[in-house]
Amino acid sequence: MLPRAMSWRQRSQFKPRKEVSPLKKILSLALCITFFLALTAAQNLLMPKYMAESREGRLTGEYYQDSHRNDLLIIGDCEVYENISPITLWEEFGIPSFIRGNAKQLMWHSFAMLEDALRYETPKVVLLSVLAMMYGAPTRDIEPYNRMALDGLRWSRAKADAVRASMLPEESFSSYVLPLLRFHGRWSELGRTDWQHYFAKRQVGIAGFVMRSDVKPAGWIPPPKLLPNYDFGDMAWEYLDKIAALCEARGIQLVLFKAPSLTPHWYGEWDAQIAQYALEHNLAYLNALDKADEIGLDYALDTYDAGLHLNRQGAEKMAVYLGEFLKDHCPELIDRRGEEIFDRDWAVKCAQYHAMRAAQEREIAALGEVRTFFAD
Amino acid sequence: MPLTSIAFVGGLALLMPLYYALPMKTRWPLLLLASLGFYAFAGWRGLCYVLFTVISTWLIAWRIDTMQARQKAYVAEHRAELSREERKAYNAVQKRAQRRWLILGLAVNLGIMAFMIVLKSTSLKGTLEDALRFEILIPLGISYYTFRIMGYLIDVYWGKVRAQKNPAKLTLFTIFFPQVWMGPISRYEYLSETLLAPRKFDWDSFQSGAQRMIFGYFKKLVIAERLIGPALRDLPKLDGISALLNMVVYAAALYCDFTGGIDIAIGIGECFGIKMEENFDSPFRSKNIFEYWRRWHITMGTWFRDYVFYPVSVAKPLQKLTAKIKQKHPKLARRAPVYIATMVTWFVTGIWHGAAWNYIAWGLANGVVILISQELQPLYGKFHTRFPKMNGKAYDAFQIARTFLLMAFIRAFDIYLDVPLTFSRFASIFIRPHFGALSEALQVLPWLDWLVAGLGICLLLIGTKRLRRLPAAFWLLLVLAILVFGVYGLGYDASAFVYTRF
Repeated sequence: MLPRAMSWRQRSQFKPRKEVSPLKKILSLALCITFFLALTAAQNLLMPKYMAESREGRLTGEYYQDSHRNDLLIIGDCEVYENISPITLWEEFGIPSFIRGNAKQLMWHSFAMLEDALRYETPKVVLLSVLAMMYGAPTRDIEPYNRMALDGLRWSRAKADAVRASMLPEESFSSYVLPLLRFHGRWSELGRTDWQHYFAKRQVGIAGFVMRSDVKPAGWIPPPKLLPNYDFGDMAWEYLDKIAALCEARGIQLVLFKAPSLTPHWYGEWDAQIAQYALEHNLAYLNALDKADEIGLDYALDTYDAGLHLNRQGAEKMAVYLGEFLKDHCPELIDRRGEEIFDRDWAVKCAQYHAMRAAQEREIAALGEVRTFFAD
Repeated sequence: MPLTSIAFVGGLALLMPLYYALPMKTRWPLLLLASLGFYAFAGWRGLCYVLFTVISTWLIAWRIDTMQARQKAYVAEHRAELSREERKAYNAVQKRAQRRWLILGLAVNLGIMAFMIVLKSTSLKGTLEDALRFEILIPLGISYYTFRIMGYLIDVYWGKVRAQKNPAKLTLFTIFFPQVWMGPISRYEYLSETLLAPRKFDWDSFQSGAQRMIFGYFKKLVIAERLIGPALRDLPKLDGISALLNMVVYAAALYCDFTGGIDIAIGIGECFGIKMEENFDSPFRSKNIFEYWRRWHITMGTWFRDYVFYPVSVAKPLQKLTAKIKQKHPKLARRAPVYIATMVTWFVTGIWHGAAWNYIAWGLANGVVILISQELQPLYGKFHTRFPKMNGKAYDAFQIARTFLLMAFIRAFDIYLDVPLTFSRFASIFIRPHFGALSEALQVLPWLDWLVAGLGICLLLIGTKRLRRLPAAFWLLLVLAILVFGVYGLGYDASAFVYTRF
């Protein structure tokens, strides 16, 4: 019987509530869970593994496997993750360090990397590569680099802010929340690598350093183009300010760094702006570009791609020079060698490093190139 | 904001729980707000056009309704005093006055729509923009909402429905967000009842709506988006048998695109407890062109039938013309009104799709084929009487294939957008088929994509009714298939529905 007090409209809408059996409820829940598991499985399969190609895409995620006991955090693009050897910094100076770098890591990516890292540790010094100051806004080709830098980042406000800052208009925030929306089109390109590295991915970096031991001497370098404007973009300045402010707030010494590389050209006007900024903010600034002789770099031997990046030999030389610089400018960096907890961590990293170095040298001797670097 | 965008789906996911959480009285205003927001997202200036159309129509309909009420009241009050002739004369005067208002309303609506169609289809837009130095925005779905509201106005004039007192409710009817993009062209008397009435959450309706939406997204993203690019971009460069392939692929893509969009729209409505009119009834199962047009874009077909074909058939100028023809050709006079009304209707249908020769040719081609088929009916009848065995399943299949191909050929005007080129491509199928070039034509799409589209079409052949009986696991699997195999996101720019062009 319908209650008498109901109006005709309510009565017409009244439907007896269907009883749902507990078994049906359990089955529905199981179905939902299965769906989300299948969705996750599909997403993991379809996301690029960054194994055979664009291996730098693995670097962001590898940070979370670290012990997070670093006195020095190095942040930047390929000018740091290929040009500075953290193992040499440890072996020669006892400085525990980690490189949070990605290909074409722009200033807002770097800010996100720093913010994210500060959730896990508080280093004494942050070394920031300033090459990315040349990009004042997201460039048209930035989307794959955004994905490489940000997809591996754990979710936090820092990541959300970085995604919003980095996105091109045609990108959507939701595709960062659910990367399947971006990479679903890879279903027809799936290869052996995707299945092989579904669960276990091979480590790409050692403390964030990507090793290349092969040599390609620098040849002719194109003369620098005249630019219409040498001022850095507002967005780049904004994020440099944010990084400086964050470091100051957390009591971290910020050091600005320009790596030695023959290209892209680092203009005198740019250098002057950074030097001025460092002076105004009382920051140390190392422009290693014109210190090649002091570092001992030989561009016929110490680069693997004709002067764009250093190889392992060059990175070790750079680390020795950087270690000396930091010793002079960063009194808080002390030699941690002999402290058990650090020795244990770094023994593992050093062993991996030397094993990789030996493997690469063997390949170069036998094949004339580092083939495993490109193997899936 | 296209129906397939993530922002739209996300907005919908937020709107639905809010809709059912609010008191019943506030549900339609929420839908109105959502619709206005949705429309404004495509450009707030577009909203100005819509609001102008709605308010002008509301005022005119209200005026007509008031006149009708006054007319009825006067006649009822003076029934005893007035003779039949006087009553008739009074009614005729009143009707003329109402007709003037109707014509004004139609002229306003049609004028804006025609102007926009001309702008959209010609280079006039660029010229005007250069002269005026601002961008002219063509309102989203103008052809659809104008037809909806013109239908409402005519129905008020005919006395089929009472004028809506509340302009907000009329606005919701006009731009209810799921149907803005591509219809259906709902009738006021059906939609207003379900749209404005308070509805309690009904699980069955919600489930049915969700299934329909999923199926719509599957058709659109997995099949249509995969095929529409090659059909409109790559295959049109080829002739011979490849042109036939193009026509077939385009027919399949357009079907999935359009029915997919309609499924999404109707599905959303069902999730809100709102029942919209069906727009398709398995059109590719039709055995002849009449049946096809009864099953394809039903709301457009019935709109043209009710508001163009019937009024033209009984229009005084046509009756006069028929009388003249009757004097010389009595046999022809019986058919003339139907012939003329059919051709006028199809001409207008063509123009509605766009102010270009290809659309006019498409419309007229449909009209001609329909009239020829009608003329051949007695011949078919004789044939079937003589060969009664020809009525089996194989003949049915032949008829279905014939109708499909015929419609695919006529649709070619849409592909090539050029009348002589369409005829040339059509002729090349028979004159220089180049069978060898077919393998090259098939390379416009990777074979895996052909496979996915083919499997998708096989799923469609099972039929929605049968699929709806399948358990929830199937639908979740379909969602997963859409997410993985759907053509969307970065790198694809085709996320607009083909039918939104019209």
